[in-house]
Amino acid sequence: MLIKNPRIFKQVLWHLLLLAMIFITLYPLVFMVSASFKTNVELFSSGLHILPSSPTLVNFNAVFSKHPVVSFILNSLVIASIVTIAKVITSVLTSYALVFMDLKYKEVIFYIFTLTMFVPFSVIMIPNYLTINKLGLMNKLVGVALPQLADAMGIFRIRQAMRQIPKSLVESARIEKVNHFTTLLRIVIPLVRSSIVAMSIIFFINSWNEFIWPMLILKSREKSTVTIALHYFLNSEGGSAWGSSMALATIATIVPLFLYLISQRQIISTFLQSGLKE
Amino acid sequence: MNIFRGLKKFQYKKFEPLLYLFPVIIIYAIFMVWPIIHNIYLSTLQWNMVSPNKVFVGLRNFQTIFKDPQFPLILQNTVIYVLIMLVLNFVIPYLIAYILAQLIRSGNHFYRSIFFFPSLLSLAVASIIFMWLLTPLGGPLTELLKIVGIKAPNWFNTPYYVLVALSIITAWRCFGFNLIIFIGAILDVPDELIQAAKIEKASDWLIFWRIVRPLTSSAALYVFIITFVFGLQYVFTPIHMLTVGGPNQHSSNLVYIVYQFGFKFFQSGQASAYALVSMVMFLIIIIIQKIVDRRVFYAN
Amino acid sequence: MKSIDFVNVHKSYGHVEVINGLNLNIPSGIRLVLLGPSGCGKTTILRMISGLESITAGDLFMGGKKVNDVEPGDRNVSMVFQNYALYPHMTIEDNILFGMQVAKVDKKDQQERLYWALNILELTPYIKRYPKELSGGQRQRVALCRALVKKAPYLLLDEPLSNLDAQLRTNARAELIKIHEVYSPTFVYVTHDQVEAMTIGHQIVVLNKGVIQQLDSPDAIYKMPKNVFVAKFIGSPSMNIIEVIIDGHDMILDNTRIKIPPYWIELVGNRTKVKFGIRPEHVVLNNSRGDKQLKIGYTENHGNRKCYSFAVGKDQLMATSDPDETISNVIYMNIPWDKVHFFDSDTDENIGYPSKLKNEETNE
Repeated sequence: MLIKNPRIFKQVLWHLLLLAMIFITLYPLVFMVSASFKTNVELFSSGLHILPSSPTLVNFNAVFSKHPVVSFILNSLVIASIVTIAKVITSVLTSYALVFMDLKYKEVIFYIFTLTMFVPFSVIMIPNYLTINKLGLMNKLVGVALPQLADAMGIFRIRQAMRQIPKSLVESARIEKVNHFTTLLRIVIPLVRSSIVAMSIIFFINSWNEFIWPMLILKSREKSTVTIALHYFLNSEGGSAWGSSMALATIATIVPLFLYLISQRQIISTFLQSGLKE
Repeated sequence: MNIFRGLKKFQYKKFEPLLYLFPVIIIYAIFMVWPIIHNIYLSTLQWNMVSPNKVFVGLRNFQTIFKDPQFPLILQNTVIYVLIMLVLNFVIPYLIAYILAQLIRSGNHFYRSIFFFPSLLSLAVASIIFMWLLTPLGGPLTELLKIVGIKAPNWFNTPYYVLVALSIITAWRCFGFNLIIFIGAILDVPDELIQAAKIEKASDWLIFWRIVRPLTSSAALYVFIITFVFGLQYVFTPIHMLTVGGPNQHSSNLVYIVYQFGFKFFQSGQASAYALVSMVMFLIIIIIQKIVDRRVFYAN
Repeated sequence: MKSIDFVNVHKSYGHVEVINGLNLNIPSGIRLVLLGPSGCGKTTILRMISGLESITAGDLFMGGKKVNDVEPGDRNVSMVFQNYALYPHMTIEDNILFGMQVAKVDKKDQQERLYWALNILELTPYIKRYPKELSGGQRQRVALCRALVKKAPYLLLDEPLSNLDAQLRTNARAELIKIHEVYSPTFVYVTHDQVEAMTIGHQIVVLNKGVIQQLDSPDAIYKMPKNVFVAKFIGSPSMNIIEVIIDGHDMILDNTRIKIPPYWIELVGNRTKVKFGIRPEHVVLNNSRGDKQLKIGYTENHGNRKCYSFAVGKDQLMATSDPDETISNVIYMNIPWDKVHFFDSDTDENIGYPSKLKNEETNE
């Protein structure tokens, strides 16, 4: 036996297990990127070879020439931006009121918000569809954005971050006769900045990734988002769409990947705080 | 005059919190509360969502869906989805989180940042990747199984296999999120408790079962619920992209069937009735969670 | 055979070395106290014994057996943690039984040992309670109880009394000694409190920055500190240490010449400067005559005694006296030469004690 020390032997076993899990986690992504650079001939013959033998941009060219990919991306960006900005503002205001203001039934209000997280999408899908239709927002980007704002995750997380702020900081501002809005802007927001950054990125990515709702609202191809455009590659069952569908999937992954790379630390630490300890 | 100003000030002070809550209240009223009520109303109608002709039918939609021969199948699929997801997205991340947080000496940050990443991908992307990973026409898994001498099934076209395949897609995408919640909870367990047990020669498993698990039971309940409630919703996208509920409704569940009745069969009444059934089911689960949660131990 | 031996042990975290070549022998069955300021490495040493902390280099022997790579559970130690580490989700009974359940001790035996330990610590009425339902002192006793039932040959305690208030500590100290005497394990106790160290330890190790400053009995540590650090760390108020110039048979203390007895001069040798140490309680004050005239800076009344502070050149000198003694503003200090200490100016090491005094010491 090479490894005599049982402590080290155990460590090696755990790391082997974890590396296997890492392989399962990353293989599909590597497969996607690599497939997007393979020719169709190679795709069906390459078997288990991971890397493309002669990388080609054929698939990307095909996607860009057959579909208005730039408008897909713009549409996604517009919707995700609206959703992110609106959700950050509403979550911050709500969290501040729920943590620092004199308000009866704060706990009850918060509890109701968290309960709404568990309302299944299927319940509000048809009524919201009818509402958006009535508001004349069908096939409009705003119509996709609006219902996404009713999401309590931001309130849940940002409230949690605000609760970590020592009450005395806000109370001393009160004694100095600083009004609530100034307290929020000058004291509270700077202190929970990293949570707000993490949540905005999560909001943006979630909205970027949204599939069901945009698919119901956006009927025309020009209004499509990147994510729902992936759907177009499925109708031509099997065959030639493999490479180009992977190319578009790769494009759809770039934004979340980039945002995650720049903010990975904040995002992970925001979710590490379980928020269950009172 | 003074009194008047005083009154105004008093009222502003009282209403200021409501001002902060106002935007969120409006949004929730229109896109959360009203739809729930609206859904209940819709479940009592026979309507195709377009025609001006709405017929009030009372509870007949519920009768129809309960008598519908596909109802037991949908229920069965839902249960199977939940069971698979509980293994893949509850049990396994719980154990892996324990390994990451307590058993390994280094690499925790590296592993968790990679495991988390798929949680930020669209389920549509995940679906399309796995469609090709699993395709019987030269997909890598098919090739791999061929080497071992197993003929790969046509995953998305075979009853039961389809549930496994779709669950795996959803689990792959959601695993990291649950893992991070578990890691956070396990890191909150005071180190000395685990050290005290180590000195007593308790095995890693025993420390998990007798100390870590009871002290993280609250987080575990939370993950249990989100796996249950969100898992059934997340699987919607893979279903819609890859099988549209087929073969023969063998991959539809209580959430997807609402879409099918609403937007494929244009029967908003039965769709809403299905939606209500799932909401009641989730509500029961959450109430049970609250009762159990009150009984489980809190670390503080 | 329950001795513990550190042989040239090193411990570092990344590039930071906390223990640098530790050599320490802890004889079987004694109460040894590791004493030092925070960050001195005392807890690290304790945790290396428990196995919770690995050692970077060197060897650790327990009972004559090398244990460098032995898991904590296989070292046969009990440990009492600073914040007790009671399992909050288990009753007191389960907390105490946990270790025996893990070790699969026979059920009947478990119960016997449980009640035996509970009786010693007077905890029997509380067995069905949860830790959060107990007071700090009771929790501390549960932690002791949990260590006691195991009857392990090594009992490690990491500042077990630091979370108790002053009144409870006195009782708890007595309790700790009682427990040690029940089965005489090798007892290693970490603290930063010198009173605890003095009352509990057979032997005290004074540590600073990961290095042993002195290993001795409490008495020797107080009477013959090996260096300036130990001299200042032990005793309250701490020892006065003032640099003086040696000129022939005299020392010059802030412009005052004081004659030194010849047996001290022998030891001072050819040094021209030394550090002179005297404990505040040993300074003899006299209203009319003495070795040096002093002016009182400020006075503190401690109830049982009074502390005076005097300016001596740039240094402060402290002295204590009976509170009822009346003392004038200008006063004389007398030096009792059998109670002073001299330290080398450069190395801070004690230059030693005249053999005349040492003999008196042993005769006492």
